[in-house]
Amino acid sequence: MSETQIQSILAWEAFSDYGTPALQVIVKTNSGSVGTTLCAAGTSNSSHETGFLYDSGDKWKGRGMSLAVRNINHILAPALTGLDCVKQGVCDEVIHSFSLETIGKNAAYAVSSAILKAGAAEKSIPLYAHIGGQRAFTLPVPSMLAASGSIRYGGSPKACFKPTYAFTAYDFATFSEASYALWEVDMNWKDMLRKKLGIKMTTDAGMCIPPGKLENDYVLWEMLTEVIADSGYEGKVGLQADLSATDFYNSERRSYRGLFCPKEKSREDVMELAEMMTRDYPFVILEDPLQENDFEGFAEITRKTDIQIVGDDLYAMNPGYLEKGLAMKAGNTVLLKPNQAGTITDMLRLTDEIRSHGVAVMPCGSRGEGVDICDYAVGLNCGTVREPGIAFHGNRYLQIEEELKRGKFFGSKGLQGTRFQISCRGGTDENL
Amino acid sequence: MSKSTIKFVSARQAFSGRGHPAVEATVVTESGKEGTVQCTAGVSIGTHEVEFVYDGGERWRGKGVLQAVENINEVIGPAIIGMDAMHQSVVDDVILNLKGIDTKRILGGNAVAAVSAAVLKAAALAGDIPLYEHIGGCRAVTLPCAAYGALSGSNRYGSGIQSGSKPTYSFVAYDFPSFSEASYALWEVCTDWWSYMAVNWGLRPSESSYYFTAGGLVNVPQGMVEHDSQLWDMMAEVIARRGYENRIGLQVDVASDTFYDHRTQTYQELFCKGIRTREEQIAMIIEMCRKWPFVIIEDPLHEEDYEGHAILARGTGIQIVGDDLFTTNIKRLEDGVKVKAANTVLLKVNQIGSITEALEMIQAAYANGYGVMPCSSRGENIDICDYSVGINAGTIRESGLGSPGNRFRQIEMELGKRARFAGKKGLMGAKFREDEKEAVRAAI
Repeated sequence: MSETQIQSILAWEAFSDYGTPALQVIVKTNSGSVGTTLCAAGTSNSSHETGFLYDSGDKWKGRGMSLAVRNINHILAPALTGLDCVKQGVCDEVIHSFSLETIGKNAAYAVSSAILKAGAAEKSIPLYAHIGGQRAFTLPVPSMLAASGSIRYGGSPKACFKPTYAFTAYDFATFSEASYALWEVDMNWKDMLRKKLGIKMTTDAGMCIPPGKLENDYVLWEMLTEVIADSGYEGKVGLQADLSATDFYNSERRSYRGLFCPKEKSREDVMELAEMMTRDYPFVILEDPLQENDFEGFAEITRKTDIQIVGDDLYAMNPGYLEKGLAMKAGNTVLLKPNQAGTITDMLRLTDEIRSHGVAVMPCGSRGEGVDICDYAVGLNCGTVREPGIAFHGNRYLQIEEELKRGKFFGSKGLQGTRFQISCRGGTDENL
Repeated sequence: MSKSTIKFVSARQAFSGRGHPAVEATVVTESGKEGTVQCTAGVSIGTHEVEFVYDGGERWRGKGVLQAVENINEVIGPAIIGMDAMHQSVVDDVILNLKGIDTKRILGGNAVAAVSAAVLKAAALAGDIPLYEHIGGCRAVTLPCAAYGALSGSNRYGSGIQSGSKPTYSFVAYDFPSFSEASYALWEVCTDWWSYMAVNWGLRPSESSYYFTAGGLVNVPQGMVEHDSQLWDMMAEVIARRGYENRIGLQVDVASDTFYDHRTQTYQELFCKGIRTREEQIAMIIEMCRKWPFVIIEDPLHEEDYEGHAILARGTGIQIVGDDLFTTNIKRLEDGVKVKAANTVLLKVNQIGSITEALEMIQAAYANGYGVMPCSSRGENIDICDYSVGINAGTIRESGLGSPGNRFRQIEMELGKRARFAGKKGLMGAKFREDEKEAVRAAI
């Protein structure tokens, strides 16, 4: 009996911190090492996402995961027990011997990622080193949430409080310097919100600016720009916006409603605005600037701007849509929600596939990954990562920077777009 | 030398997620396992709290803790290396006597608290037992009532005095057979509540996390309501619509110190515009408890009003918690016990200093018939769940869903048939205890 053999796998229904239902898995090895992960239901409304197994019926408002839990405990657990948890590929193959459609991508990902963590524990190495080996020595450009809110101008409350805005600290020599600058801007920003809008905001409550406080988002952009300048970080700290445009799109009228201001907008209006944001404001990253089926529009925005254009709802890590969009350069970055991919092996394969098109990946830990998303970002040499880059996630990056000694910070080169990349290949495969 | 002998102690400054930085200490035992703990100051800080050491100056807005970190690395750490982490009180004793009676002031309450709690965690890991079991042994079997945030917000009715995000309101699920059932019912009510807030006001709740357990709070700004009672109606209605009347109730942390003006001895802009005298405030609280489903009220009066807290404990029949009133301090608790002020002590483990002192305070509370309600706001993170089970607490501040909810469900599974849900009896106050009901009726 080998020490690294999987001794037991147990799953149960759980909560995500976002309020969505989730499932939690614990993998134990013979030597007593443990890997625990959480896999949460999605909150975004992308129709391109497939594969999660949800219970039917009213319980958990239709998103219960008891079937996925049962599939883990009764099907995957017996099949995986006794395997070597360090051999991720072998374990994932066994998971794939069942149809992911019937087992559920959520079940597959949860088990696969828990095995990954048990494997790291078994090898007594950090998770990022288990994922990326000796190559994992880079730290991504950090960001910090600044504002959110979807119904300010008549948008849908289902839009999950989009657009979200964030500060991105890129032009610094080290991660620690970038994260300290973010902390300063974050503190000054909260002071400014208190003074100018009379609202006290906390990051854990999503920095949601309620209706009635702003005439339009252009005022907000001015304020965000001002606080960066006041903090003395012009050209070093920039802005990021996740528009989640699908949520504002009315497919019958073919227009966007409630985005940025009450005025209804055509596709061309939004594209023009995206250019304006890039030209007149310090935006360095735009995510989902158009609705999820407008690949042409994405490609056009990517061509016409010189910053990072990210596709989230556009791709939802769906291989079919990736094939379609990557070829036509719809965006220069794909948002990586690890559990949308399937197993860890699937995720790694998709990441390679995306990069082979000169497109970057940007990890996002919105589905229960917690601070593990930091290890994914370092392990996969990602140039950027969704916020938060300070607070507890910041601590994890700082710890990794310390462990690596020569931990290399991406700086401006972590960002995609011709403004930041010398080579005009589009993406640079995020190699330094 | 045993597995739990302390081999190495280190500390660093870290982000706390609350704005100002935290002291983070790590204790490594011979087993190779490490216990890491954060200690940070809270948002509302009672005047009777233990003193923290800060760096001052410009960087981190004066709240840097590099001096406290150095005190751990240079003074506290070296003093306890070689000691057995299993003997918490012996280790704490050494730490607390490093600089005589003023140790916490000189080395920093934050430095002392971080190391002491890290020793506790390191010992549990070295012994390969869950933290709750290390704290409470075989007695540790109680899952607390499940609570989660509903509302926060200060300055709703003007500037107030120095209010943080208070008052905060929560839902408490108590009359259920098990923690899992209570937390699921709580989830139903909370998600209904959040949808309501999102659709009508465009507001979203705070997220809990592994590091900061209190979540679910929606910050309602100025101009949305004229009196907090409108919010109480809304919360009561969400509970009723799901059919959970008398099974899920409301909790409020009034933090009235932050609304109290010492000069005029009045409460200002609390619950609504205007001012209230002490008597009016007491009458208000009693009426709140009669008309709305409140089951827990924290700090309803300012921190020196022991007598008033006694009147409310008698007059409301529900759980009255002292946070700023007691500041997890045994001396202040004893003063309170004498007049029967409140009936529950809020436990901020890192607020008092060492684990041993915290355990002594808990013992004193129980011995006097008081409840203890753990709260994670000083960096205790998700370990607060283990503290709660470890001391068989009946209630805990917002920790019923998200990461902390998951931890409780995991403990419930581990304990299996031994698990006991605190339920209604977990709440203090005569209203929840059949045998004392008569007494309440007489008092009212």
